[in-house]
Amino acid sequence: MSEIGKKIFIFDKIRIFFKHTDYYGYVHPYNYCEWTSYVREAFFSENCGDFKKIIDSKVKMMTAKIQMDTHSDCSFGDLIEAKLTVTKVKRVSFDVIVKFINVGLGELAAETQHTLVFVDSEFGQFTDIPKNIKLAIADYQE
Amino acid sequence: MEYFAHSQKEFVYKYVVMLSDTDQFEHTSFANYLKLMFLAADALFVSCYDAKFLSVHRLKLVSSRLQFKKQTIAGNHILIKVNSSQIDGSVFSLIFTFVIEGSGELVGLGRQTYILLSRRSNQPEYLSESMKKLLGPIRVEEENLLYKY
Repeated sequence: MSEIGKKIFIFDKIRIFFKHTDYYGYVHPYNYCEWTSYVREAFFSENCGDFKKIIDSKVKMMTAKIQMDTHSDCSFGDLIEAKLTVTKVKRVSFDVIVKFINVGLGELAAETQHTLVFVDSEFGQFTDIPKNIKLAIADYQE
Repeated sequence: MEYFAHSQKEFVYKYVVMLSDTDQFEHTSFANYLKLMFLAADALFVSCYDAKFLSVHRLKLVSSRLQFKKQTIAGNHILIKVNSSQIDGSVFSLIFTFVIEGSGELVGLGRQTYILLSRRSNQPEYLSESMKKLLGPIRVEEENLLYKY
């Protein structure tokens, strides 16, 4: 059995371009929501071998809620590292935490937490977290 | 500004879901609802966003959250009702109720907290009169509301 809290998934492919900036030259906070989806999907693609098969099955993964807190500002050219961990793992849902670190400044830029829930689309009911997703997240629990 | 009920005033932003808003599961992807909150907030404040205001002030998002209640698909007409809450000095919250026009089905409940900063010093500033004029009429007491945002 894996030790809880042992791993953090790091996604380091985020760089700030003009399109990410707002009127004042800072990253528009909306981008953190979009990057949250990239980070979680990169995590599942890398850590859950049959993720494509799961999403094509009748079991659907849905976002039930999301919270975002912004901290320090980021600007054009900054590199952002996203760190993903998991918490509140239950039978049909779990929460994904993504912390966005400004690499140059070494500061927390923003943090999101969203709840993923699994639904059997055939019966329209909540269903267990698929086995391979549960295995994939096991080592990343906070 | 549009008002929907006699007892409660709110700012309403309307959006029609486009195919480009949806993903391979045929539903609006979650990040797009967050984008709609920013669009609705911008629409609320657009009348005070003149060059002078923008050169002096910066409205910064502190936090944002959203609960999803129902999926939407391309062609759905969504009404985003916006109210203000917890207006205090330089900080205020906007609460968002997403409903499908016509059926009134609840799509989502959102909340954003903003702070007004001086662009020069990056320090908090009292809300401008022009902002108070927009926030005041749509202010609600959250403990009296049907939903928890």
